[in-house]
Amino acid sequence: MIADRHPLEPDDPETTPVIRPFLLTGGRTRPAREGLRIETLIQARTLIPQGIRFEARRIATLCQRPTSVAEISAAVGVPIGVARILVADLVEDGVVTAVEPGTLSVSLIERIRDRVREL
Amino acid sequence: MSVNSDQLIDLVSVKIVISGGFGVGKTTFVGAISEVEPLFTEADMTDASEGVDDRRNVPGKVSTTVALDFGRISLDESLRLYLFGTPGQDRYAFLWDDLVEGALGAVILLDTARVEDCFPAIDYFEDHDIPFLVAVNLFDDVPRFDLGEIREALGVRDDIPVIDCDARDRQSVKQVLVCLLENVLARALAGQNQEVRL
Repeated sequence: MIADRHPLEPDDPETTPVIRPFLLTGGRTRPAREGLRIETLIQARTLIPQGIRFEARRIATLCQRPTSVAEISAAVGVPIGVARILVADLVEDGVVTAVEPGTLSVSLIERIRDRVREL
Repeated sequence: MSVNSDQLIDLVSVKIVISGGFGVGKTTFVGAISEVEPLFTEADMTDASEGVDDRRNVPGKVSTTVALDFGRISLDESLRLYLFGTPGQDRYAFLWDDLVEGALGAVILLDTARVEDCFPAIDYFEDHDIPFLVAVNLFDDVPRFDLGEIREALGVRDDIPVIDCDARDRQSVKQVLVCLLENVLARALAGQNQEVRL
């Protein structure tokens, strides 16, 4: 996405081009819903609906299995912020659902520790 | 609730943040234990910044993006752990809120040749009351220091573990994560078994 910007050039707001990734979001820089963390798992609610295209279709396809916002970002090739907006739209449209974060109980921490130890 | 939320009820994803100075071995650390090759993406400041990037004295919405790498470990069929490396320079600390929200805890990797590089991370996690430890990455070509001396140089609290690690070695990385999780657990137990929101 930013490959055409020389990595050593300082960002100059006067010369830096419009953020092209946000063209995918119709220029919006805020998601339609808050609370999507980078590790939040997204899962499709249905088979891929007819009529959705491009990035939305890619996301709906990826999320046939639970996939995190960060993984969606990496797979679709858009920054995290753009992925959040696209995912939030799909949640609003009922195409995918976001797994709500659970409660970090002592038993869950113990379970995580034990599983890591077993790796 | 969504139509098929029942099947999702037990699915949990958690994250640990891997921090430290530029080139300290964060990607190596993540790669040593991730079940997939570390993934790369970009985080853009537009969705995290409120114009706080004072160093360059420019308004908030500019097209600064930073590289972010991460790994994944499926701990069991319904529990997934993600490891996220923070961008390597403290000028991006404004982004961390967005990356760190809800984290179980943080590993700060330290290179004894550049101890001061990890100060911004220590300050950040102390200020935000996020459990963390300092893992001294054992590079081959740098002098070894006594962990007590390093602790003293860092000025961290007694309850913050300072341990050795080899970011290339899966077992070593695993030990670091277990140590962090023990610390997270101790804090949770000290909180009188109160449940904390993720």
